[in-house]
Amino acid sequence: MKILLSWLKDYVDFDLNAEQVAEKLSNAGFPCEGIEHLDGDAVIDIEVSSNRGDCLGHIGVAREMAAVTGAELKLPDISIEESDKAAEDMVCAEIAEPELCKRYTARIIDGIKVGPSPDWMKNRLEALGLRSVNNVVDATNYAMLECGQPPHAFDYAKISDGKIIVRKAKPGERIVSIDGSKCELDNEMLIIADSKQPVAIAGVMGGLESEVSDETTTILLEEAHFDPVSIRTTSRKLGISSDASFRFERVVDVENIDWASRRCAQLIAMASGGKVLKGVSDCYPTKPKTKQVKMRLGRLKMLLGIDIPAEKVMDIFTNLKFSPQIDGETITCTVPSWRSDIYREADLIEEAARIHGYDNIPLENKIHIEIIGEDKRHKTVKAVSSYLNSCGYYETINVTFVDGATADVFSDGGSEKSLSVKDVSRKSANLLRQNLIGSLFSVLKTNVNAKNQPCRIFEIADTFAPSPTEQKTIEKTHIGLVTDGDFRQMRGVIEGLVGTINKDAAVEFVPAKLKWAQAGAEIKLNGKSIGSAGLADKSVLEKFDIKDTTASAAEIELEALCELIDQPFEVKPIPRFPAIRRDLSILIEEKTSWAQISDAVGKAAPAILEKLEFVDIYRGKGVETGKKSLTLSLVFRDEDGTLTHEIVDGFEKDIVKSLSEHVGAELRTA
Amino acid sequence: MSKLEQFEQIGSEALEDLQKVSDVESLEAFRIKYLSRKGKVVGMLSQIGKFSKEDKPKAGQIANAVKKKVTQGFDELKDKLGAAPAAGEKELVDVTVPGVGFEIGKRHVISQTIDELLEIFSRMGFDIAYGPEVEDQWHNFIALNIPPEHPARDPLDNFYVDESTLLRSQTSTIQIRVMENKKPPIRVVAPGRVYRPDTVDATHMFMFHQIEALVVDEGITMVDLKSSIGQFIHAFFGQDIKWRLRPSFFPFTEPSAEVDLLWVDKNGNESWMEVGGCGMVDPNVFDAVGIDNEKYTGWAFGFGIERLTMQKYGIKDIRLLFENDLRFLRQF
Repeated sequence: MKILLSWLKDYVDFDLNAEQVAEKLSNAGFPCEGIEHLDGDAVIDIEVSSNRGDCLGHIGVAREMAAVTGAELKLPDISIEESDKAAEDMVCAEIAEPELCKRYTARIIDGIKVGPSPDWMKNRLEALGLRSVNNVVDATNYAMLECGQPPHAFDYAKISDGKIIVRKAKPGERIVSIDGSKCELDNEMLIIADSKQPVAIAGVMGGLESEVSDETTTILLEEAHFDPVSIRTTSRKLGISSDASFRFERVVDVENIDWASRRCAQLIAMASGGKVLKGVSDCYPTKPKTKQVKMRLGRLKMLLGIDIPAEKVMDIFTNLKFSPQIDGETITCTVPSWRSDIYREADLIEEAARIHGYDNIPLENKIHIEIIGEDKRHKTVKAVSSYLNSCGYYETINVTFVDGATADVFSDGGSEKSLSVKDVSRKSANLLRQNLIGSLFSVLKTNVNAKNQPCRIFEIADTFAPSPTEQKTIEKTHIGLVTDGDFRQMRGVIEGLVGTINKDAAVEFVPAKLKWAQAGAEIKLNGKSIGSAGLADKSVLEKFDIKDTTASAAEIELEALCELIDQPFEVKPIPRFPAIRRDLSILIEEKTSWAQISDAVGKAAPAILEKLEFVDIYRGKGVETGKKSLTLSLVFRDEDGTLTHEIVDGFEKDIVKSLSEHVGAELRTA
Repeated sequence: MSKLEQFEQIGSEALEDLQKVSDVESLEAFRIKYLSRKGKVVGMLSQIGKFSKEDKPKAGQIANAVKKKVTQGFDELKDKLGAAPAAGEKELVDVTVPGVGFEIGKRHVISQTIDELLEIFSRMGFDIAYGPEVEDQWHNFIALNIPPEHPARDPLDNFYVDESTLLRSQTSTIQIRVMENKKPPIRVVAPGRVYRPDTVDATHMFMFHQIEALVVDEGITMVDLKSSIGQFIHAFFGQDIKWRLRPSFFPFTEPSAEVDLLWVDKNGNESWMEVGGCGMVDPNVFDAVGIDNEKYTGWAFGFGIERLTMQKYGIKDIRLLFENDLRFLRQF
């Protein structure tokens, strides 16, 4: 809301410059968004919160200035010399929707001559960024910027039968608004109609046909109250918003409508030489009751933590025109009609605090000691992130939405069984993701295209799936990892990750079919499934246009790691005796997996087999097709003494035998 | 030749052979012949067991002495042969050549900011709380005193999943969840993602992060609110920062305030910047969660993470935060 400093001074006396006024208003809850200095004047742009529609005019802001400075508020004299003709003989207003229109007034001004506005009016409007149109339109704009209540001037000649009906539109009705929009109306929209057709979209915009033109000689002046939600809905549906709709959405002062109408009629008459007809057609079915709100001084102190003396509080309320009455420790206020935002004790306390000034609330240094526990989830997320960072993985943050193609490839349910948002702004990527790696593959693409390789990325975020049984969302936090490296590196990172959280936890990778992977595994932690990992299929990379790279990915449930983080683990001493290491190269069928080999070794392993390690796989010269040569390493150690080679030889033989029996391994001689 | 003599013989043979070694290859051949597991010198050790009881100690002694001597000679020669490319010259190191890097990853700058904030609140004695991102209308609006006709509930301003649930538009939802489940005293801080349909541009994104602090107890006043926020601001922005509380409006607090910081740019220009909203918990909110609003009072403080982060690092475009280009992520 732009305020012209000189205009503001019409209603309240103060000796402050623009910056000082901005400071005062800001402290009262109207922050300054900018000051534009003019020759001897200034425009102050203030932000008005949505509950303070009363401050969308200069008088409202002046009222705040008066309350803050204690100065008197001076309202303009609105006496008009009315003609003998009665307005009510020419116009009859009627409200068909009293829920949506609490009051409607119509005045008539005749004998006007449409032309340019007087300079004083024009200059003020232009200083505030409004284009001068003609003396009638300018007068209505001027009145709106003064009172915060938007009037509308119709060309009386265009209103059939001098009849005004405030009603909902009928199906099929349409109107061309002043800005030229062709509006299809529906039966939820409130309109102003004459005896034949719609002449304005109530509170939003007038109709082009009944607009004031150069030929206009008689004006029908509307000043009304419309329901905020109805106005907002209509304005949104039609895509039309105006200075008027902005104000109606923020509630205009129903009691002040006649005053505002007189003031506007006076301004029109002044600017265009017309004569205001006697009286008004005022439709005001239910006058609201005056609100009285009580506030206890004790409660004020309880909430604010400071003592504002009763006299000071009374002054504040008096300056706000709340007509306070004090009885003991209770103050009763009569809420003025323009303050629709005040209806409870807490609201009065806020008013007292606001005008007293938040700057006057002191800072305190109370010492308060309390030990709180460390949050497990936070601790886990930090441990996971710092481990992954140390492995070269960067954390990314991706939007929660994915498109159908991504959901189809990466989530179990596919796009069919994904939750979606109904918003028009999200036409394609409107599904809530069930997996993080889909988003991570698109980040991989960005980085591969930018030649940022190696690219190791992860994300920790919530995933969403519909519950198969109830109307509920299953929301789980996942850790997603994607790298342009190979699967073994990724697996190593995950093993290390679990080890970081708890070194005794057992991680297994059980071969499993994944939609997106050419080789995939289910990840098990202490026997329980916690996620999956795999090497991305070439066709998937192609589909998402990721070029010239391999990619591995994994997705793990965070909860599984949270459960593990505070679990105890066993600390072992450093071995005192040396180990003996034996490398074996064996020839096996191509299909034989390491898991099978590991099992076979396990079957024959003595207690002193400390470790079985994978060394490498060789295919090619010297190895027939369909077979592979695998080198493994056995590490033996006796905790209680030095091992001899003879003993180890024996165990080695047993292991070789077991490998031969269970996986048909042949020992390869070098 | 007695067995003991054979042992000594092996020793002198080995030392003789060592004299003949002239290059790396012949050194390796020597190692295999004498020092490998089945080599002659090492092999002696496994034969000790075959000696008679009386000879065993002697045999052990000789075998170990021989092994020590031969190994020593071998090691010396190995050092000599295997040393710098040209014997006698030092390795040439150009210390002005750039170092070999080791790349570690980084946390996302938003996570770093959130962690820093959580850390400060933790030091102030706040527990961390979380809540779901898909929320119901009760937690997102109704309990927060946002009536049906409030513009914030407009379907166009929210991501509805179905009629009754939506992606939360604010982390204040967590306030409600905490108060429903825990009786005062309450002191929690809650970070998280929030969603509002917005046309994406340099300063707008339809998903962003907020953090929210809530305190409920007997005797909590606006003095506590202001003091706590002040302590927080100084901990995060430094002791010299100027700030103020300015009256504002939120449905879930009354009185409400906006927290402004006096930001000084590179050229020394000062301007007030809004960082977040706060206020005393509205009595209607207490009613909604069943906390006696005559007995308890409380304050809440919430703000956006992206804005704070962008201001701190001078990031001009919010989209950079969600593009995840490593060239951006690496800088933090």
